[in-house]
Amino acid sequence: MTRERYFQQLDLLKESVLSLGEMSELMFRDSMEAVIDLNVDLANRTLALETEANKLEERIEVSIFDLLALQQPMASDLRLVVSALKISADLRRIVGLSINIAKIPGKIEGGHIKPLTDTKRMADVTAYMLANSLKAFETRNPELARAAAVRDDEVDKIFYAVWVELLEMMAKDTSIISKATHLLFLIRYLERIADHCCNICESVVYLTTAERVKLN
Amino acid sequence: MDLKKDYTIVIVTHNMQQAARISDHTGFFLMGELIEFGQTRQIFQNPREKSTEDYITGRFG
Repeated sequence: MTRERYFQQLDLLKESVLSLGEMSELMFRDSMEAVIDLNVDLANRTLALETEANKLEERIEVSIFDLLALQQPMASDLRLVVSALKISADLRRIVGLSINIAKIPGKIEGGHIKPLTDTKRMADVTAYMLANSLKAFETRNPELARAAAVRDDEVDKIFYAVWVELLEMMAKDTSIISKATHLLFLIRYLERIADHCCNICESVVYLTTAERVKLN
Repeated sequence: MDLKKDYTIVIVTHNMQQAARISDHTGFFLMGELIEFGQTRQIFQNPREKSTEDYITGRFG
């Protein structure tokens, strides 16, 4: 007896996680563009997607409980289900952090206190990590996952450099404290998103090799 | 659990949940041949042989 419905459910689970992944990529990209250009309209469009992302994550969770309770997945199927649960939680956090980023443009009036060149680079590396962690999940490629996670060091380095720069700017000119604080939060959110990408990469390594690794 | 100290109990089953729940070690036989033997945890989470994987995930049998 083959289990056609079960295999369809597994395929659908994978597709749903990838859909949530696409959504988190879109929200992250748009929220960053919105904060760099201080584009409130684009930020609001990002904020409007949160409900849809929540619903998708809820559907994923329900399908995982159904699979566990009704199909008793084993071996690599079990690892797929566990990875899907963990990856969707990481993606949901990335969506949440993108929402936080999208709230920043509405709070900054009259332009940024400094060019966001380093922050933009940090976002580019993070976007690369997110795209490749999802591709590694889609193609079950542990090497790609490890290669994506390595980039976290770059994100951390830029984070500390910009952090120090902003603290020094605030020490010199207290009138910028409010705007600088938003930028401190922004780089913190980016650093956290990159950490969630590392978690996704760890889940991909577990899914494909059954090895539990720490990649950040 | 007391019997465990003195006896080895072998159970032959097609019920995957039963095998996973009650045994310390699991062997997978196919057409009279022992394909794979290992700790139950390993067999059900990360089997080495493809035919073991295919059987316990319901791809055949």
